[in-house]
Amino acid sequence: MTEQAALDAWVPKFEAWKEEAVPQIMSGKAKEAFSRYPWFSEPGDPFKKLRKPARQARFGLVTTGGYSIEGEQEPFVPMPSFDDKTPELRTIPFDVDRSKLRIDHPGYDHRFAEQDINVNLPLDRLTELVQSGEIGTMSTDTQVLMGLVPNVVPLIRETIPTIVQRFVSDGVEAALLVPS
Amino acid sequence: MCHQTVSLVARGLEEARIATCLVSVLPPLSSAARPPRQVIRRLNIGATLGRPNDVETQLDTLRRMIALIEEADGPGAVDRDPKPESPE
Repeated sequence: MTEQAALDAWVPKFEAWKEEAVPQIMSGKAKEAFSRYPWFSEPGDPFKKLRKPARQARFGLVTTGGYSIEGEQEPFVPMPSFDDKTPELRTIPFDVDRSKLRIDHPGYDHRFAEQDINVNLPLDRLTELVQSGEIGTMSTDTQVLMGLVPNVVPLIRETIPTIVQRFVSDGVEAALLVPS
Repeated sequence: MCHQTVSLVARGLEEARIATCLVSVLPPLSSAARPPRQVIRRLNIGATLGRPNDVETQLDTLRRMIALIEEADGPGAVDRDPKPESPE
């Protein structure tokens, strides 16, 4: 089965789920709605062996924490993306003014991240690992999503290729991914 | 939902020849999308690398992710926290 065939088989299940789930979510029954969500699985098992030590490699960071920069970037829409709109990305530089970071993701408790962003946006920890020589370099820009993406079609077709293109053009060889 | 999202991003990056590892605190959800490598930790949603200001745990999670990128020989590699010992 190809990726397209997997998506073609998944979309009718998603549409049937969405019809029942959206009203439930709007009435505050998100947990019940997502308990019946048709999780997506695609064929194949892609795997790239990193053929050098981490201390010589360039790393990238992806987080789904829904961070944006107050006063510089539009906030994420704080709702699950059910339609065909492309899930948005925000780019957070490693030297960002931490006080300007805003969390737009409605799906997790922000209390931990408000105390210390490194719980899911490890800018300080990864800077320390570069300084100690445990990893080579970091891509200067972190790729941030708001991870509530029930409709995987535009994610796979649009957003993921954008992340790939940004990392490839920046020479990233390995990536760390942090859900929220 | 975030766990499915990062798993699919990881797969897309590997197809572009970028090695990846994610951290998971909800392994049934991340594993359903078959990420190439994952470190499964007994931590909390919203603090998936470690609790606030717990530098040691945050670094340990990141080091385990980096180690799995260096050491895994094939897809589906997992480094999982051990189950807590049950009281006698």
